[in-house]
Amino acid sequence: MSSRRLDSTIATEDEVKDLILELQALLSTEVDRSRTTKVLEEICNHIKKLQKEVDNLSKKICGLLGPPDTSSNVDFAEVLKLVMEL
Amino acid sequence: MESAISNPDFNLEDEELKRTKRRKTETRDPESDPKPETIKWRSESEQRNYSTKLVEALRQVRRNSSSSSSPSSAKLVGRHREIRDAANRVLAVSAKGKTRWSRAILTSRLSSKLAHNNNNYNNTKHKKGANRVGAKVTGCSRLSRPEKKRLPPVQRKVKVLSRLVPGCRKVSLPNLLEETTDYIAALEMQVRAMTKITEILTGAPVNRFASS
Repeated sequence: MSSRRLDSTIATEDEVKDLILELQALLSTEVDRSRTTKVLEEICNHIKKLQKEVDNLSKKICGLLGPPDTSSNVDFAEVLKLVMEL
Repeated sequence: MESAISNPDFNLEDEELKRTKRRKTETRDPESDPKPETIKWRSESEQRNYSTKLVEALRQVRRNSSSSSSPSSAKLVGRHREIRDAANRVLAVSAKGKTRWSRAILTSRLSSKLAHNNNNYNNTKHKKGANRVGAKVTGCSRLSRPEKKRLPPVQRKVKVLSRLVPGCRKVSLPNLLEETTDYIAALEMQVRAMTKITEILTGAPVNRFASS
């Protein structure tokens, strides 16, 4: 089912699910401690990565929204319309 | 009873299935599919909902910034934090109070807001950690306490994880893993939504005197 991955980056969301399932199994048996710590570390790193990405995206959006003066007026109605289209 | 098996319109079998499924989730089988609340983070409608609410919140942030009178350079730096906090708040709202991490984000914002109002623009250093989703809590407890025996590596990593997921420092291990699963799924959606919004903002802004 969940094979031991060689690299430590989580690419898909299914991998996250598999990792957590693996972690649950590992934690219940308490046999393979090194693997447990490795999986825990991967999950932690993944969360940190996601949080950092959110932070970076916030900075980008901040720059794109621009200073709140009238010269760079973002048309929010337009943005909302495009968001709904997806 | 034979007719139940051969007759496809007879829904006794369906009832049996439903009952088995319900029983399965009630006994919390770890091999079962993730909870429906976690699955919903992957749906497009959920992302669209979130994006809409976030854009409205961004509009609000922008309006609030234009009325304040702090210098522009400080404003820009502070504003990205406002945007990130708004993004997290909207994410927590979308969770509809079903998870611990989402409730923690909302209550910590409330308490820090009340403190802010009481202190009259005190300082920008945040008090408790749940609001600063992006920052790691540095070990001030480590400095004040004398050197103690380190925990085994597994326990240490579990502690790190519990600090990363908001509001989960003292929850049991199985609950922590459940919260982690949901939190990660929500974060992935947040990244997808904000990326899309960034793309839209890169292409779409129009110089109109439209009401912002």
